[in-house]
Amino acid sequence: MNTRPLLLLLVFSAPSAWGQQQAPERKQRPHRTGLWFEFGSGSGAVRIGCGGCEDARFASGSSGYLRVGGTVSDNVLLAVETYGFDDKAFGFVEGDSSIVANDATITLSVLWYPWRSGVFLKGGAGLASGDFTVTPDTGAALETHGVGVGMTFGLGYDWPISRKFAITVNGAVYITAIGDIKIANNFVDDVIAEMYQFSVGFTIR
Amino acid sequence: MRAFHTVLGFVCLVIGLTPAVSRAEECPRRRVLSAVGEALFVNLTVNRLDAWARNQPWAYVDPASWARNLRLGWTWDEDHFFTNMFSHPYHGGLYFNSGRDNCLGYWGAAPIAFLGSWTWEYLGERFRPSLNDFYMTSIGGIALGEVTHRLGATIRNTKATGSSRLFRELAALVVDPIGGINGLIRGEWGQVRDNPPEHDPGAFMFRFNAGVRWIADSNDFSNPVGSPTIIAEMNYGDPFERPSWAPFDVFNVRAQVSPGGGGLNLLRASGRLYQTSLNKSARRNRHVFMVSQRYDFVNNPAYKFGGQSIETSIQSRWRLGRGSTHLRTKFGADGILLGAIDAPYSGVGDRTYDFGPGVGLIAALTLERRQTVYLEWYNRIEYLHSVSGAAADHGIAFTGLEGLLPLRHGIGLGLCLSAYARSSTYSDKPVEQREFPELRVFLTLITSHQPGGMLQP
Repeated sequence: MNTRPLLLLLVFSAPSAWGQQQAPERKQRPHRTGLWFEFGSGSGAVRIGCGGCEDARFASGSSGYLRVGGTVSDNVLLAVETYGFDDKAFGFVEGDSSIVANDATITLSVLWYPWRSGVFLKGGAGLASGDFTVTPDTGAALETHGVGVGMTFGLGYDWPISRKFAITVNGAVYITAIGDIKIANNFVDDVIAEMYQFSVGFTIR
Repeated sequence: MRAFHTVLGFVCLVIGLTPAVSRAEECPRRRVLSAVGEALFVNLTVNRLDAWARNQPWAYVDPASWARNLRLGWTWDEDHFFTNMFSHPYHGGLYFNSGRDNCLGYWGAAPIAFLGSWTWEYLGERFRPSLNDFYMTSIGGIALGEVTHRLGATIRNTKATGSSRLFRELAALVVDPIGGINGLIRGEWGQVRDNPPEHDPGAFMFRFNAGVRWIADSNDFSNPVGSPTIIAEMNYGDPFERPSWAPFDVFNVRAQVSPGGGGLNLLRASGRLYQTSLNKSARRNRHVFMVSQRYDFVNNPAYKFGGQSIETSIQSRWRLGRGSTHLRTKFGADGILLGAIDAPYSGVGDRTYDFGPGVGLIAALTLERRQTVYLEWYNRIEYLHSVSGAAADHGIAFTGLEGLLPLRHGIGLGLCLSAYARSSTYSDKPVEQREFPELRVFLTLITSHQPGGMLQP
C-alpha cells in the first residue's frame, strides 16, 4: 500500500479540520481563536529545595515565556509553552552568589476560560532543564546541567486592544525537578526549583 | 469534641453550599464553590480519620507544620509503589469527581484535582509535600475520576425503581463515592427522573478473563511463578463510530488481579481527549488522529512500571472482504509526564523504584469479526530518564500476542503470550538487562458485542 497519501493527509488535514471546526464560533468568542501566539516577560522569584535540605534557597531574577497554541473548544485552548528564568547571582548555600542559574521548562499547557471574560486558568506539564555555571577567578568555567520534569500553573487575563491583539497579564508558578546537581564541590540532592512569575505579555490571536 | 464540631460544621457548610439541584437536570449551572468545598472536605475527612482512628503521627498537622511545608517546598517521597501509583490516583479521582458531580466538565474539574492534591500535600500531612504524589494524585486522578464518573452514572440509572434502584445506587457508590454521597445528601437516591448525558449503557463492552498466569525472570526461566488471574476489560465507545465531543467519550480500561500473585497486578486506563478524522466516515477504511490521556499501573511479582502519559496516535479500521471483519491498527507516540520503574540499584531510601519523564512508541493491531476481537498484537517501547532515585536511563519494551477461540454464548478460550524487557544504564554501574516472559491461559466471557473501542497495549 502506498502510505504517502495517508501521511500527507495527516500533515495537512489536522490543522484544516481544526480550523473548520472552530470557524462558526469565531464571532461569539471574546478571547483567542484559531492559531495564536503569546510572549512576555516579567520579574520572577525562585525557591530551590532539595532532598534532605534543612532549608530552601530563595532568589529573584528575570523570566520570559513564549506560548503557541490552538483552540480545542469554546473554553479550552491548548498550547506549547516555553519558559526561562535567569539569576546571575545564585548560590546553593547561604552567602554564596557565585553561580549563574538558568532554569527552563517546555510544557503542554491547557488554558481554561471558565467565563466569557478574558480570565483564564492555566495548567501544564512537560520537561524541565537547569543549568548552573560557576566562573572561578582563574581557569575555565564549571558547568552542570540537569534534565527532568516540569509543571506549571497560573492565572491570567486577556485585555483586548484590538480584534487581533491583546495584552495579557499572568501570574504563574513553574516547577522544575531536575535531579542531583554537582557543582564546585557542592552536591545537591534531588533539586526542585519552584519559580513564581508575574509577567505582562503580548498576544496575537 | 471540639474537633467533632469542626468537622460537623464543615459538613454543614459543604451541604449548605450544595443547592438541591439534581444531577438529572443536566447540570443547569456550575457549582464551583461546592466542588472546592467537597474536595477540601475529602482532605479533612481523610486527615481526621488518620489522626483520630489510626493515630498516625503525620496526620497531626498544625500551623507550624504548614509554615514549614510552605517554606521548604517540594521533595520526592519514599512510599511503596502501590501507594504512590494506585492509591494516590484513586484519591485524586475523588477530588476530580467533586468537580464533575457539581456540573463542571472535564477541563473544569481538572483544577479541582490539582487544588485538592496541593492542599493535601501542603496542609494534610506533616511530611514535606511530595512532588510525585502531586503528579499522580492530580493527573492520575483526572484519568481514573473521569472513568469512574461515567461508569457510576451508567450504573446508577435514575429511571430505575425499588430494590433494583437501591442496588444500583449502592454499586455506583462503590465506583463513584463522591457522586453517590452527593446523591444521598441531595435526596436523589429514590427520585425517578431523566438520566444525565453520561448515562450510556449502550457504549460499554465488558470482557472478563479467568485463568492461570505464569511469569518468569530471565535470570531463572526454569522457575516460572504461576497464579490464578482474573482480567476485566472495559471498552466505552468506538472512535470510528462516535464523534469526539468531550474528553473520555471513548475510553478503555483493563484491570488484572492475581490472587496470591501480588493482588492488583495491572490497571490501565486510556481516554480520548481529542480526535479528528483523516478521511470521510462513509469510506470503506477509516483513519483517525487521536490524542489521549493514559494511566499505567503494573505491579506484579516480577516488575513494576507506572506513569501518567499523553499519547498521540493514528488509528485505522480496515474492512476485510465484504462482511463485518475488520483489522484495526494503531501507531502512536507518547510522552510520559512522570513515570516510575523498578530495577536493581534503583530508588532511594526505602523506595525501590525511580521516577522520571519519558517518551515512547506504540504499535498495535487487532483482528475482529462482528465486533469480537479474535487476535490482538501489541508492541510498546519506552525510554525513561530518572530524576529521583538512581542516576539511570531505563529502556523498556512490552510486547504480546493474544488469541481467542470462541466456543458459544459469548464464552471463549484464550491464550496470551507476552513479554516485558528492561535495559537500565547507570552512570556508575554496569548496564543491567532483564526479560520477563508471561503466559496466560484463560476462559473469556464477553458481555455484549459492542464496538471494539480503543486499541491499547
